[in-house]
Amino acid sequence: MAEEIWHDPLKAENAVHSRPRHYLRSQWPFWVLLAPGVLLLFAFVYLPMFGIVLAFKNFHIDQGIWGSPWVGLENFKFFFRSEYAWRATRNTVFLNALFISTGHLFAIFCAIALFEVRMVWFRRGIQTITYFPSFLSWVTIGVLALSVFSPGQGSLNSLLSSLGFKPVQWYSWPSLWPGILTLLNTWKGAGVLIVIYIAALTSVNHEYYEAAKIDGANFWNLTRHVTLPHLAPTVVVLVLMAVGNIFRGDTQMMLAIVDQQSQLYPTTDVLDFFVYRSLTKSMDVGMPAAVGLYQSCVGFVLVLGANWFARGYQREGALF
Amino acid sequence: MKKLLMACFLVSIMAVTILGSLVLAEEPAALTIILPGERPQDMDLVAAELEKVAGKAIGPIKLNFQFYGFNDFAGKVSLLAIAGEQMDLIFDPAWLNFYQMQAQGAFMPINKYIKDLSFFGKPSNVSAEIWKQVSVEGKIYGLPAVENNYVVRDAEQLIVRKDLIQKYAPKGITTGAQFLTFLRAVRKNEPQYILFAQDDVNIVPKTATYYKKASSTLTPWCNVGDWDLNIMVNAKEGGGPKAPKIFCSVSTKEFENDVVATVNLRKEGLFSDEVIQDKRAAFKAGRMAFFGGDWSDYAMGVGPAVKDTFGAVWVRFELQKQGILVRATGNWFNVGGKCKNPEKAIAFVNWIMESRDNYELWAYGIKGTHFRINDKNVIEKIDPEKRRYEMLWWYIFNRDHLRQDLGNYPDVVAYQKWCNDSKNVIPNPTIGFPLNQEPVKTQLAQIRAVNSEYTALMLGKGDPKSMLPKYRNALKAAGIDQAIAEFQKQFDAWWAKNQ
Amino acid sequence: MSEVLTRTTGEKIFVFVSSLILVGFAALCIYPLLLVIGSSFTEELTLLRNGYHIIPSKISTFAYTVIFSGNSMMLRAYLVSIVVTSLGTVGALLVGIMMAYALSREAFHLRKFFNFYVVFTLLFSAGLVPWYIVCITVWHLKGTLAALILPMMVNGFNIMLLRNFMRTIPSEVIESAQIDGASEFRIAASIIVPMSTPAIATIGLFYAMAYWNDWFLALMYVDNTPRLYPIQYLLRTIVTNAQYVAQNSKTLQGAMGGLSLPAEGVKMAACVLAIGPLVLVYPFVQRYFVQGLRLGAIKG
Repeated sequence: MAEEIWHDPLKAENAVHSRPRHYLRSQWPFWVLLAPGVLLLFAFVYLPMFGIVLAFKNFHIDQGIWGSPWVGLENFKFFFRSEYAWRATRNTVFLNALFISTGHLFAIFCAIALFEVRMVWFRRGIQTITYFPSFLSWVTIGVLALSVFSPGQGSLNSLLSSLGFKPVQWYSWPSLWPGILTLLNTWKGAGVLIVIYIAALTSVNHEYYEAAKIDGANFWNLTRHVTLPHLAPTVVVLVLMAVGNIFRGDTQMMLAIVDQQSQLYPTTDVLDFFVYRSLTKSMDVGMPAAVGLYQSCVGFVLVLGANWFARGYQREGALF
Repeated sequence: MKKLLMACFLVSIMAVTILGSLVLAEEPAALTIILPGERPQDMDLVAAELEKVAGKAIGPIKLNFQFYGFNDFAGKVSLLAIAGEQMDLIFDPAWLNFYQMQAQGAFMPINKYIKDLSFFGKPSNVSAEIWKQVSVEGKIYGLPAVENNYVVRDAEQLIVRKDLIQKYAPKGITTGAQFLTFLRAVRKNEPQYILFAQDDVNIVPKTATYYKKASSTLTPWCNVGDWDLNIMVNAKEGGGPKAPKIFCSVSTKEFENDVVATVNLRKEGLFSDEVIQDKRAAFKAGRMAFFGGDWSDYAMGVGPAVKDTFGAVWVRFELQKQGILVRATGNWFNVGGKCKNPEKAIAFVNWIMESRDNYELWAYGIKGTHFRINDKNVIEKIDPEKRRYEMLWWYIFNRDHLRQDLGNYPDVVAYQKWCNDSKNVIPNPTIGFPLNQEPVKTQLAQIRAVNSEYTALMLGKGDPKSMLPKYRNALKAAGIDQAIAEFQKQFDAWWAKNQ
Repeated sequence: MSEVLTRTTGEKIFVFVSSLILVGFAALCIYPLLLVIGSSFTEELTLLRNGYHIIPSKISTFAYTVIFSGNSMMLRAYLVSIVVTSLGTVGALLVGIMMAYALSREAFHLRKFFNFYVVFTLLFSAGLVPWYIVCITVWHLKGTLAALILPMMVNGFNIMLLRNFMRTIPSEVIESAQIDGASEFRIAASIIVPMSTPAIATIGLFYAMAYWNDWFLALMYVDNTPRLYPIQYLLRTIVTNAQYVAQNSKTLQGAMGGLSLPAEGVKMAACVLAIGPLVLVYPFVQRYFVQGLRLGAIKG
């Protein structure tokens, strides 16, 4: 092995591009380190991008991806002329907006409230308990929801009956489900957000509070003028990141909870779920591919936009 | 240098692991046979025997049986086809989207292989009508079961548990109202039995009979094209100089009655939330009070299986004066569009149909281990608890090979005699009609999407008053009128030519 | 904040009411779990007639007997989940650490390009249909164990988290190692990794949880290979088709004799068995999750 000589990288003559052999020798470890990850990403993210042509083709099974005939924008026209385009888009955006707003508002409220509590064991206990649902998969949560909302055996209907009310066919009323889904989503996600917000609250410098109190502030003033503004950066970044994903529905959630209950689709059918059903039930390939492309493109713009805003607001919070 | 070598080694190890696990080959090339239902416990045993015996006749063969639940079957088969999976023989019943899948290239035309076959090649074995049923535009796609034409619909037919009938309907059931009373009694006293399963879309549309209103079953309607399009023709209008009118069943009053009746049934709690993938198995296991079966279940399938336990009764109510001959043949096997060895696949099915011994090996298992022929010349299961091979005998069969001892079933014998008399049975006017769905392909895809969306209506979920008009409008927007017009055009032309 | 001030009445009311809400919410987090546990031990007919309750009026362990009798599908599903989670997490960490390290080093000239390469995967994806068809036709993933592991192994978000953490390691440490003649591999392994353990632990837990809870990969790729069902997918199969449990069940082979499948109980029992391991593991790992979130939160 040739002996390792230290080349001061600041000296012009050591600039790497002027020493090709040195370039290779200094750079190849990085390539090796990156190789597995790059290959995997290529295999499962970049290679499928070639499959985007399916959105512009009429897929014939015996002709495969490449042999099937081109149909231009037919699949897109099909989708956008149907009522599903508007419905799925609206549901995706609306449900996500509900999830984001409710989730974060509730978490902020809980974080501030918890922060006020004096007893540490109470704070620790609540945090531990409320964090648990985030561990559960949507399948499990679907069963839990069933145990509560099932028209025949669910505990909610049992409760209603014992109080003298008539049991409600929960799964028959699509208008209820944005609310129920928001409830479930908050139930699962609040714990995580609470931890983040409490961490952010703890990092606020005491001096601000003390200064404000010296000026005679009471609790509400403190909250409004000290706590919330200090939470704002975290909130803004988190919310912006979530908004960037507002066009992405959660297939796992819908499949686990709504699944085959097609009477609920008018209010719960999100784009991802629609794509999944079109592929697996309607045996259609071109149209869901087109919808997926539509979703990815709009989502791309949204994420870029959200990121740009977040960057402007707080440099490190953004993704890149 | 050493480090370079080590790094290359590490990277190659990782690459090999990744690639190796990807390339995890399963079985070597085999004939993949796709069937619905539950996989029989002794499938591997019988498959090995089949390979041995059939291998001697048609050359070495390997069989790979894949089973999918009845409810998922159509969807899974579609998905497999799209994903380019190896599918050699695909079971095709009336409820598979034959025309849609054929149009997408899922099946292979097999005209050129038929001629030389020992069974299928002889015109006397398979009638022209049956060949037409399994063809599209002259191209044959299916290897059909050859059966007596008992695909007749003449009444609401169910197989019901005998013990429940004796308890709650001792006088028998002849009308829908009596059946409803029976259901209510069972629900009240024995809630552990499943009445209507979550997805009983086949039985459920007929439920209006239970409330004594015109329902869609007892109408002489037959499907045009795939069953899930809900596009129908009235068989009673056939036989004239003009072709019968094609229409969509959703726009009819009967459909509306069906939906309202189903909602009422659901409100009464007669529906289970479960999806039963294999109703026969669930019935045999004692979970269901009844299921939509026919004479063959009663006399040759489930009935004998539960004879010594809770028993099965063939319940027929709302009898009609005339039955509808719905199809020329009920089931057949398609050859997958990407099948690599079609001759072998076809030769195998032909082999099954050739001789009684072959068929019985396929349908009942190994003689001496799973079944024996008793002195009444009837199949008898040996040790059904231990040796379980419940292959459904009607996947593919030849009527000449069926040992049907219906001596114990005079009602079935009478029924078959009745079906054989042509004055009692009206044929489906679309038998032999070569429908071409291509011109309205887009509309059909949209119609399908709308239909799958509103199956909830047909299961009694949701509110019919608001959903039904929406459903009908959605169909209009999807182009149902254009589709019907196109079908009618083709139908009229074919009708004129064949009169 | 509260230590310094004495509370006003308004404040006290707020604390009281909000504490009630918090306790209520926490109770709501536990309630469905208790409901499911209690129902799984309830006798079937009682369940059908009276519904799900926390305290069973008639106790029966038949549902569990049915699940465990004769067929080992629950145990096999646990095995699959454990194998998938461990292989997946280890693999993901290895690949992730290597990538994050390379991307964090200023000396890497193609750093910007590969950063973009990774980040782009978070911005734009081909969609379900192309992904599915490519994975099946090109990589032949159907019915293999790899199908449950590989597609999820590289997550750009986690890699970026790790990279950002590594970037905070002072460059003097690396430079002094380079002066001592260490190669990039040596630096990564013996210096950066030990210094990044909090972040690595957090990422590892994220991956582990993602693998343990995932059932979408199972749904798309091993649907017809029951021997490869992970526990979440098995749960889903049982819930949508309780009959599934009856196959090969020795207890139910006497079904003709009157033992019928306790469908509702089985669903609840399967759910309990799926959540069980998480409850056991939770107390130990919760700390790391919280720590990881705090790290992330504070660093933005």
